[in-house]
Amino acid sequence: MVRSRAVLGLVAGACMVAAAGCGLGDGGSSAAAVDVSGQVTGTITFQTMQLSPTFDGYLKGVIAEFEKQHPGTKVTWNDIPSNAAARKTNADAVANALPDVMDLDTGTLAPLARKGLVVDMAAAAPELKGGFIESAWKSLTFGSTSVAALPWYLNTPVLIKNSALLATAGLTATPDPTSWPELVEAAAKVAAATGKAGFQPTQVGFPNYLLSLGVPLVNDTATEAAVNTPEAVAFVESLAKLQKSGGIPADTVSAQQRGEIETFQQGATAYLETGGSRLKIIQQNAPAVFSQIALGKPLGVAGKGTWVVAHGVAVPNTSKNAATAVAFAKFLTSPATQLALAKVSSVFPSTTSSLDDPYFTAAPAQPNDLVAQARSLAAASLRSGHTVVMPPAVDAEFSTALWSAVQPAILGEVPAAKALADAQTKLTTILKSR
Amino acid sequence: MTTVLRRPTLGAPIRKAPAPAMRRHRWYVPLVFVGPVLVVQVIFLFTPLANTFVLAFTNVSTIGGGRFVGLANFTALAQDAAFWAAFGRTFVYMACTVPVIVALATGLALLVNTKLRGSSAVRTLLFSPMVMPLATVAVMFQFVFRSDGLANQLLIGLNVIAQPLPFLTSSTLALVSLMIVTIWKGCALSTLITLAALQNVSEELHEAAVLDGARWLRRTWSVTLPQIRGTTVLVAVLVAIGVLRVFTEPFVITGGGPGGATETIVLYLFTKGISPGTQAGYASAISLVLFAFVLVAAAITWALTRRGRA
Repeated sequence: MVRSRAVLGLVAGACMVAAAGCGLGDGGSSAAAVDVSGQVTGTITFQTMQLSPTFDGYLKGVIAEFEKQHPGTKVTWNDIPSNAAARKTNADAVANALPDVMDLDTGTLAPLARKGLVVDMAAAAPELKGGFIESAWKSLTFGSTSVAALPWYLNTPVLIKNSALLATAGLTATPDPTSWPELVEAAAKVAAATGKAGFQPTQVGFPNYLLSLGVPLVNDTATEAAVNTPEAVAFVESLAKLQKSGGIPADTVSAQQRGEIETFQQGATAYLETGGSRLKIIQQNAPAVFSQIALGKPLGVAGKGTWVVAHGVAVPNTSKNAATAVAFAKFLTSPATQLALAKVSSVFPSTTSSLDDPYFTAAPAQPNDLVAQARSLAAASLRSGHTVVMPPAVDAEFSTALWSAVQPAILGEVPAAKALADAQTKLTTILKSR
Repeated sequence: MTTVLRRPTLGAPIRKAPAPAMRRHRWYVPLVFVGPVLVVQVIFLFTPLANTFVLAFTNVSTIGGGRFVGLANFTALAQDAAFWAAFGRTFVYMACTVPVIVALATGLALLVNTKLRGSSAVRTLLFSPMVMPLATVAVMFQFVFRSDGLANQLLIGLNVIAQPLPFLTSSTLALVSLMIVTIWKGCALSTLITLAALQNVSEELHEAAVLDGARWLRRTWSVTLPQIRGTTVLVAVLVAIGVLRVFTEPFVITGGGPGGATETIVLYLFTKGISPGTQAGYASAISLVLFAFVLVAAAITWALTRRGRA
């Protein structure tokens, strides 16, 4: 009898521990407005994603300056690897232990914002809206939270070209492709003339390609997917043709993340649309290919727009010192602080005044300075207002499911229209389950 | 110094001799040894396990919240075509790989057990996959199976094929390619276990068979294999359980593609419950169902081979 009671007690205890551990009592969303008007003082914790040790000097300087301007404050900085960010943020959210200020990508921020777990910056700092690039500000809008974070650093692409391959293909005098259909045409020519591929489509990039073609991806309320459009069907069909003709690499559908950079480094593709920061990697890994590189404007900049991704600085609703946390977030994303970051890195500031700095507008001092050229091209693209942001609902889960659905169509195993119709059904199920 | 033992007299009360010091304190000694491991197990194994049981009946997401939803996750799972496709694929995977691994492991163990010159070098080579992390093996095979990878170059070089085979980019071939990786990696441990069993095969029976005129093949079939049948079954069960949980190969090599052609149950579970904001409750329900499948598969294998073990 005593033994059975003890067993029952143990089971009950285990269930209680389990229930407490899974955060069921948390209640989930709480979109209530947080008071950020208090005194800026006290200690806050600040978490970044893989910025240490490269930017230790910069970040320590920013923290010291903030503490100097606001006596009585102390910022405790913690850096986490980017591949662990999602898991750590999830666990912190469940345990109500999110840091006071968080540097997050949109994929990790999205679920927190949809549940209203972060301070709405549209309410906490409305005066700042005009200072940010519109697309960057909009890119952090999720569900009920108008703006889940203050935009911090941005990335937007340029078109990197292998001029030697293009010369062999007879495309040197031809104007650069300005859209994805034009790139597909150019890739077919490259394949026919050189036997090499034109470019390599990727899982991460695929929603951007569709967006750039005018495919909305989701409906206005983000409750249904909208990927099965004539433009999308035509584009996938053109990719299937390229797969057959060698216009895209044979292993495109099984390639790993960033595989497109490796392929370009091997001289196996003629075009690569990516952030300018990749130039240094190519220079390091493939100097021979780097010496043949020429740059062009990003695809879509003359049409529906080119992609931009933003990192945001968010403050959780559970912060014990929201006033200081928001003040630090504002300081971190201020034009001067962002410009200083851009000058020591290859990212772009999200504030319009920073982009007007000669660092971004002046012509490169040396004509062969590809990094400076890329910076100038990308900054011009950001200033032009032709950048488009992914709908917030299009996160990693959405991109993975979409790419998985179109893979058989690219391989020619199923018609593009059927693959996209299936994708739409599958993605709508995902959206409705959120 | 002679000790005189006195026999207790009848009718006198028998007094129990006091227990030795070691015996009196014995109750806590095992705890001292087991305690640290138990604490670690409770924190990192049993609590998450209990948590999974609870979460399976909720609609909790990976960032918390949620409420109890009864059997809703299991009802949805029963109607989830993608889950059943992954389920079928995993069982095909198991049905194809387990017999091959068991047969290969038995064959290799028999060969390695033969006293031949250079067999120790062969033994080292055979067991090398065992010490390699599966993720490393997966990345290695990704290069092997590329359109311009080792496998295609070899087959083209030998004039077996004219064009590269789409090992990883064909919905049909991709699963077969992953099976090859599992077999390559899985053979090493299975061979080792079988080899250990072969060391215990009775020499006398072999000698008797030789006297009866039985050749090597006959002796192997009628003497050796029946004696290691129990171990062979154990290997089959262990491999089957491992294959039902196959994850690293599809995750690293194909990502479940093309078009979900290599998505196994655990990979499906991963996509449903690990990414930020996804459905941890639903994923927990999948893991419970998988747990049940593994139990059932092991029980069926065990029952089917009971006669062999007897």
